[in-house]
Amino acid sequence: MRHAMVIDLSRCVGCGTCTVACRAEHGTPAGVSYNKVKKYEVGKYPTAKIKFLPILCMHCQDPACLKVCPTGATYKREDGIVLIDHDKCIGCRACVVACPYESRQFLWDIRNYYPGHVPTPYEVLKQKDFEKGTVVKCNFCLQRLEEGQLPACVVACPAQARYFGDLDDPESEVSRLIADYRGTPFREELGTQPSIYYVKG
Amino acid sequence: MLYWILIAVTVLLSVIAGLVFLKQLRWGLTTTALHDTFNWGLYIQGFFYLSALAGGILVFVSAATLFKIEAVRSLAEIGAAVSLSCLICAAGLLGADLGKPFRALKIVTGKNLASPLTWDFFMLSLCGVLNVIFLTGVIHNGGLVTTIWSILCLIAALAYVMIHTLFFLSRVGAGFRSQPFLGLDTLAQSLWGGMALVNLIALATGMKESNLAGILLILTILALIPITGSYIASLTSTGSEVDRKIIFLDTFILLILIVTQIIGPRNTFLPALASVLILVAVFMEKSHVMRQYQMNPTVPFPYSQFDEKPAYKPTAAEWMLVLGGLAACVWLSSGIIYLKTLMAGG
Repeated sequence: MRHAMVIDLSRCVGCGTCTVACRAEHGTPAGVSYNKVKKYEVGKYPTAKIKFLPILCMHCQDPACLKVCPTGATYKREDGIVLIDHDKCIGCRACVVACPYESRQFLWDIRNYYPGHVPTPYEVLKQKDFEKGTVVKCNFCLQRLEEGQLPACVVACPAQARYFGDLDDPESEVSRLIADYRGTPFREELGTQPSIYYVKG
Repeated sequence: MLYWILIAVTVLLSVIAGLVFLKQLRWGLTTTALHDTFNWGLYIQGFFYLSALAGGILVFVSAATLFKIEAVRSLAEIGAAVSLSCLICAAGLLGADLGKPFRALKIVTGKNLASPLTWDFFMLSLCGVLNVIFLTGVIHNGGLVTTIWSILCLIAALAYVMIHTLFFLSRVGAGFRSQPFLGLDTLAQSLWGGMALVNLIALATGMKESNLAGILLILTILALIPITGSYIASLTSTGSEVDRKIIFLDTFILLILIVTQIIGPRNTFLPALASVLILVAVFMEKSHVMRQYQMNPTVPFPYSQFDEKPAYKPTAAEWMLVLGGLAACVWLSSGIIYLKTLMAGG
């Protein structure tokens, strides 16, 4: 089994709901985002358009971050999910530098969303999981997968631009989408074999 | 008197750096100017710099020992002390950069041999141990142990210097530095800087028998060629003002060393000036490496066209810590030499 995600770029409207849903699910401190939506401009006036590229951890089959991690804090599960063992992370940031997708963030500090105020009860609850001086990233919402649920960004996307499933199963929705719409990973030429595929359906 | 003033100043700088480090331990890396898009800054630059100098000196020490060059034996002994100090201070700066400095030992238990950082850690540690062995006086000019020690030393020093070219490999869009010259450049800078420091020690201690300025001349050419080659190869992308400044400085140093060779080796001012400028040039080069790799977003254009690119300007705290680290090399070297003299009964 290999977990994978397909993102339909023709459906993405750049609303940022995935970012918000991810932050809410993980309770990430202010300034930390596992799920980013990059916007870019194509064409020239009067036909210029803004397009969007959602980026998260690509859960690569051959991750550069895993190779450079000196302590083995970054590891890959059999189902393809790349995780960080925060007890082993020494905060060297070699993985942040090595990741070609900007998917990792170092926790310089644990900041609240409302500076100058006491943390909200939700922040107090969630921020216990974060340790200053370590690196964090998307975990494909492992806690939800274990309960049989889909990742928060997939569920929340109002345009239904995200699909999640098993890449090893040729009958799965993600496999069919990749085959039918010629799905390609981002920066495929780097050879990291990402588990996130992009299609223009 | 001048010597004791130097020691006092360097100790004071190191004490200040220690206090800054304690503050950083309390507040984390928010005391630095580092941010999400510029992850490695002055601390890592200082680490690369000091470890490059240590590597260069160690290559000199091991080569002198391997080829049994008796004339530079005492210079090699001082060099080993300086090299060890540089390694200790480099490790200190690396510790300062870590989010959790005291967890660095987990690299030993991590055993990820695919990681450049793991090999860097082991090779640097090995160099430290080999330095200590040399300083105990066990290694003489001759014998199997000496040969093995010298070869191990050469392998370890050259290995970690070259490992330092691996950290930014994924930053393929870095322009100037994304060239086949990078490995040669890193190696040349290390040998160049290390030799400049050895030359300064020789001049300061009155050991002027060998024509070290001649070796510096050769190494200057070796350093200048890859850096110029990289610049030419990247003219179409990101040839910057800093690139030209470094090449200009390197060329100026080359001219000084050529003049030194013409007017004769008795002159001490010009070789000393060249050595100091080489140390500055190597520091600039390390800064350049850090910036070239991190000044642009990792995700390529056009996807990053609206990304903010905040500049990195090291804070006063960072400068104090790095200056303290560099200063510590001076008094630590003196301390090691003093200790060695005491142990030798002199």
